[in-house]
Amino acid sequence: MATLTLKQIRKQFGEVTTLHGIDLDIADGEFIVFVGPSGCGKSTLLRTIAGLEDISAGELAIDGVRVNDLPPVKRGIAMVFQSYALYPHMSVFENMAFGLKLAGMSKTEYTPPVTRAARVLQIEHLLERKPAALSGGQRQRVAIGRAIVQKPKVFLFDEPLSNLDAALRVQMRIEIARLHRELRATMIYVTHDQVEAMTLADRIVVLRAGRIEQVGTPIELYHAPANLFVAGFLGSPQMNFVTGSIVAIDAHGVDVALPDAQRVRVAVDAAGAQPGDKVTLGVRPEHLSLVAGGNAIAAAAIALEHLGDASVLYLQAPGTGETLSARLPALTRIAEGEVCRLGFRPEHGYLFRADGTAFRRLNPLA
Amino acid sequence: MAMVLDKTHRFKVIAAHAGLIFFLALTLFPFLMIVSISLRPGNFAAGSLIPEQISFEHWKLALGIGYTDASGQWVAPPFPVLRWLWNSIKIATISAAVILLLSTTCAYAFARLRFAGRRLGLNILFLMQMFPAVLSLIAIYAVFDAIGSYVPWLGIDSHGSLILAYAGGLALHIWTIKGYFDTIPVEIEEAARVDGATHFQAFRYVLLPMAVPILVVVFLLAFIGAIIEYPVASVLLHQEQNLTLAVGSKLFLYTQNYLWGDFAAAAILSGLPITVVFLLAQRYMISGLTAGGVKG
Ligand SMILES: Nc1ncnc2c1ncn2[C@@H]1O[C@H](COP(=O)(O)OP(=O)(O)OP(=O)(O)O)[C@@H](O)[C@H]1O
Ligand SMILES: [Mg+2]
Repeated sequence: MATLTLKQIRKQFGEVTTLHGIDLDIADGEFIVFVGPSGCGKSTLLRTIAGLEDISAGELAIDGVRVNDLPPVKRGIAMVFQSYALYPHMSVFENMAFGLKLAGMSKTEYTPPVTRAARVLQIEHLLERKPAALSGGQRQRVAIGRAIVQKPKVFLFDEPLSNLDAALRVQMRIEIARLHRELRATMIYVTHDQVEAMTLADRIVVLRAGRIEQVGTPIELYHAPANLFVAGFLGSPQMNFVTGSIVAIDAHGVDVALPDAQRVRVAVDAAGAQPGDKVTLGVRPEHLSLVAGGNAIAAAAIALEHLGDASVLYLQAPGTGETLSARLPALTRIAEGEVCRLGFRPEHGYLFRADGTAFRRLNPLA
Repeated sequence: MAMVLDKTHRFKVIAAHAGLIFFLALTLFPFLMIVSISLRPGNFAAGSLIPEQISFEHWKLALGIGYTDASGQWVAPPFPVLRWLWNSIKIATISAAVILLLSTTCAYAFARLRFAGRRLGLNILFLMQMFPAVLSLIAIYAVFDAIGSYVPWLGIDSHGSLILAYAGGLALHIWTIKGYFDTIPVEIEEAARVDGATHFQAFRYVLLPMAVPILVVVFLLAFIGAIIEYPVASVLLHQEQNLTLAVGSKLFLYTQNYLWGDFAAAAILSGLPITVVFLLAQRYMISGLTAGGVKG
């Protein structure tokens, strides 16, 4: 129902700059997810969009109209807080009706939308209760219901599910996805949870220290990360990194020498690079497997974890002290200290320049 | 209830009860003594706790009825005690209401709004409160004397002046309420702002209802403070008709003749409004009003 345009948005708290010029265009009905490490400014960005923090510099437009100086309601946004932030002295019904009441609606006017939202969220039987008598999941539904009845152009969610247990989180995640399909509203969602980001987002915005590192669809970010940071941030367990240097370049890829002189091959377009350049090799744990020969890294095992459906093997990276991990089939048996050869296909490898930017992968979706 | 208890537990319980009963007796004794004195014929401070003879002469005087004494003489009430009681209640109620209004809004500003001099203002308020009002009695007298020549209803010997003087003592209450506001998560008011509330509406409809218990406590403290206050009231009020009960009942104790019995009856009367207000207030002092708003 609304497009958002962020132009060079900056936010300062006194001397400290928290957002360093954010540029972002959000399409009508899009589901945008902000991810990034703790303290990178996700909440601050969301709160500046909401109008709870003023914008130090730059321009925020909703549907093409500059809204920098408008209070939250006038921007047509509604927000769901991480801590729910319900009104504890009001019943669920009053919680959801509060905004409509303030807007001057009479009881006969605001009752239908509130009951409709309650029905959508399956909290009709709780309408008379106070928030203290609700479970965490029910409270979060009320908070979402309070946002829905406002009929906002843009929904803002600040880690709405982080207080819920794992099972409930999955259930609510599915409900939020359904809500997005039904309401077709623009939604901006902050999360720490990779699975939430990957499953809900039309596009993910990766933030670091107040700057956007990359914007793209979940598939793009996973298969074609722009740099080391994004590559390391998405994926669990984290992508393995080993430093090395280029020894040979041809049309189908690059040969990389690792610190202990092992050689591996990665299928990337190394245009502009020279043999001898320092690079970082990246391989996702799920792309490694135990092999006898071929394109592989040899490393000593440190520990093995059995997850049930798979085993995660931790190894000492060659030449450096870093830990590598490999996702292997369930019930793999490896002794501690044993040297393993972990193979991967060249097209599954990633390669990063010394400044952290990624080489273009030749066949990213292979 | 099926909890396993140590042998020494029984002893501890008995000891604790004995201690509690002792302290209860200690605190109740003066009160019972006063009741006893007020019911005893004659004006004696000493005597047994349970009066040998019950007489309502002091109460009759206090309630403005008068009585016929042993020699058949009619004793008229010497002072307008009920009038004093009414003065006390009026002044305490109005000043407590004014204090509540001002300190709540001040506390909101100090707790939620960001402005220059916020910390300094809070500390100055606190420091000012450290000086007992007695120290400034002369100043208070001079100030109200001056005010009185322009605004008579705020001058010396007016109830307005006393209310104004009491309303000035709100620094501590501001701190109390601010402390409570600080424990209420800001997100709840931010949610209200997102819902379309102005600052004032967020304050009025969201913050205030959650703060009711502390507001009741502050009202109670201010009310009690005003009822029992003596020094300032004794300086500002002069005419017999205008006195508060705390100041007026002192008149029963003239140097040559201490009318202990009449004094005791008046003292108990002054406890009456406090008790009533406390009983009324009690049901608002419920805990857990802010529970459930946010994840703890
Ligand atoms: N009111 C404030 N005054 C000063 N600094 C602030 C304020 N609010 C946030 N910051 C700073 O801005 C930075 C970004 O904070 P923000 O809350 O946006 O992080 P976040 O990405 O949401 O982190 P998290 O994932 O932990 O919620 C932090 O370094 C924080 O200390
Ligand atoms: Mg945050």
